[in-house]
Amino acid sequence: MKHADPLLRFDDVALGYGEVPVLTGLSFHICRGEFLGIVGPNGSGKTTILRAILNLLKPSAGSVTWSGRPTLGYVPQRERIDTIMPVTAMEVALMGLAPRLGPLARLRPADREAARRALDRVGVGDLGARLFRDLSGGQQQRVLIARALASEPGLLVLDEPTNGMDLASEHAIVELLTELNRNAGLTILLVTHLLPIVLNAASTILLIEDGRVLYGDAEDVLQEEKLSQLYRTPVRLATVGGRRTLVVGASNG
Amino acid sequence: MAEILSLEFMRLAAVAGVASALALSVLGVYVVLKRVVFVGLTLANVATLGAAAALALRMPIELTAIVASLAAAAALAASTASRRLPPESLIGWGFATASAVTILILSRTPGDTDAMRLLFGNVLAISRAEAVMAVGVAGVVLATHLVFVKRFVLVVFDPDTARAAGIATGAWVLLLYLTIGAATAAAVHETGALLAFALLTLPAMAALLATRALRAAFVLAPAIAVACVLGGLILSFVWDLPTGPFTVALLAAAVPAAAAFDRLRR
Repeated sequence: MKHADPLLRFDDVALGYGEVPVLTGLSFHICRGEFLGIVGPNGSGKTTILRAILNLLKPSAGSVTWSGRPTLGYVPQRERIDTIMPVTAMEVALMGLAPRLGPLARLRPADREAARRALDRVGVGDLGARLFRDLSGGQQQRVLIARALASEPGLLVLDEPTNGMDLASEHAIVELLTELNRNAGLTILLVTHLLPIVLNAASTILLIEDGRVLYGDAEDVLQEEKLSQLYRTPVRLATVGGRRTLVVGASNG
Repeated sequence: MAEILSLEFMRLAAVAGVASALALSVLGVYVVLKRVVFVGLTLANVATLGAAAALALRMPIELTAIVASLAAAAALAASTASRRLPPESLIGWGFATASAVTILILSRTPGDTDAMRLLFGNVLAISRAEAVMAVGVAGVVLATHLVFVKRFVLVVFDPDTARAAGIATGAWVLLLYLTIGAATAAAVHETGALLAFALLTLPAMAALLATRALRAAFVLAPAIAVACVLGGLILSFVWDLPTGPFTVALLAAAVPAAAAFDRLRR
C-alpha cells in the first residue's frame, strides 16, 4: 500500500446479525489521505461493513481498530431521507454540527459560517435558502456532502452517493469527491454497487462478489484477469480519453 | 364576550384548551412529518382505556390515563418494522384493542355520565385541578421541545445519520413519543379522543400547507390551534352547539383554507 498511516484496520473480522454470518475473514485497512472504494452487489455485505465502521455493529470475530478515531462525516443513501420536511439547504448543512455541539448548545455565527463554507466548498453556496426537497438529486447529494464536511471530518463515509442520478450528475459527484481527496487530502470511504463509480477515483478498492473478496491498491485490483476471475465473466479494461473504463462479457479482440 | 369570560367554567375551558392546543399542535408537526398521524389516535384511545380502567377500579383517573398512554407511547417508539408487518399495523392493533376494551369496561361500570365524558370529553366540565394539570403537562412538553428542537428535527429528518454520529436516536424517538403520549392523555380527559386527535394533526397539516419553512410551521400550527379552540368555545356557546365537535369542524376547515391560501400565493 502506498499510504503508510493506517486510520482504521479490519483484522480477520466476521460480521453478521444474530446467528446469521454475512462476511467472515475480512481484512483491510484505510490510511489517511486514501480513497477506498468498497464495491459489491446488493446484499453482499457492504452496508454491514459500513455499520461496523460507524460503530453500529460489533464484529462477532476479529478486531476493528482505529488509530486515533477521527470525526466521521457520514453521507447516507439519499433515498433514506424523507424529503417531506421543509428544511432549507443551510438548515441541513447546520445539522452536521449538531453532534459536535451537543443537545443544549445554541448555534453561533461561527457555526453558520462553517455551514456556509461547506456549502460553498461543494458548489451549492447559492442554494442555502432553497428548500432541500426542491433541489435536484445531484444538488441534494452535494448538500448532504456539505453537511458531512461542516463537522470538518477526518474520514468522509458515503453510502451509494450516486444512486438514482443521471450520468452528468453522477460524474459531477465523483469529480467532487476526487477533488476533495486529491486536493484537500480528505480520507474517503465510498460504498457502491457499481465498480465504474470508483474506477478512476479510488486509490484502494475492496471488491465483494458472492462471498469472495478482492482487496488492494487500485492498480493491483484493476487487472483484467483478477476481475474476470472474481466476476466469473470476461472483463476488459480500456482507457478512453485518459480515463479507465470497463467492458464486461467482451470477447478478446 | 365579557359575559362569556365572566363564567368560571368558560375561563377554565379556555385555559385548559389553549394549553392542550399549544402542546399538541407543536407535537403534531413531527407527527405529520413522520407520517404517523394515527399514533395520536391510538394514544388518545389508550388514554381513554386507562381512564375507563381507573373509573372501574376507583383509581386516580387522570394519572392512570397518562401512565397508560406513556406505556403505549414507549411500546410504539420501540416497535420496528419486521419483514412481515409494517409498524403501522401495531398502531392499528392498539387502536382497535383500546377502543373495544374501553367500551367493554364501561359497559360493566355504573355511572353513565362519567362513562360518556370519558368517551367524548366535555371541555366545559373541566375542574380547576384538571386545568392546572393540563397547563402543567403542556408546560413540560413545550419546554422539552423548545430546548431540544434541533435534536428532534435531526432525528426525525435523518435518523441514520444521527445514529452514525453517535446520537442515541432510539432515546430521542422515545422522548418524542412520551411527550406525545403525555400531551394526548392530558387532553383526552378534557376534550375527548376526537378533539385531542384533531388538535394533534389538523393544525400541523394546515401550517405545513400554508408555509414553506419548518420554523414558521412551528409558530403557525399553535396559532391556528389556539384560534380554533378559542373560536370554538365562544361560537359554540353563542350558537348553542356542542363545543368539541364544533372546534374539530373549525380545525378541519383550516386545512382546505390553508391549501387555498397556498394556491393563491403561488
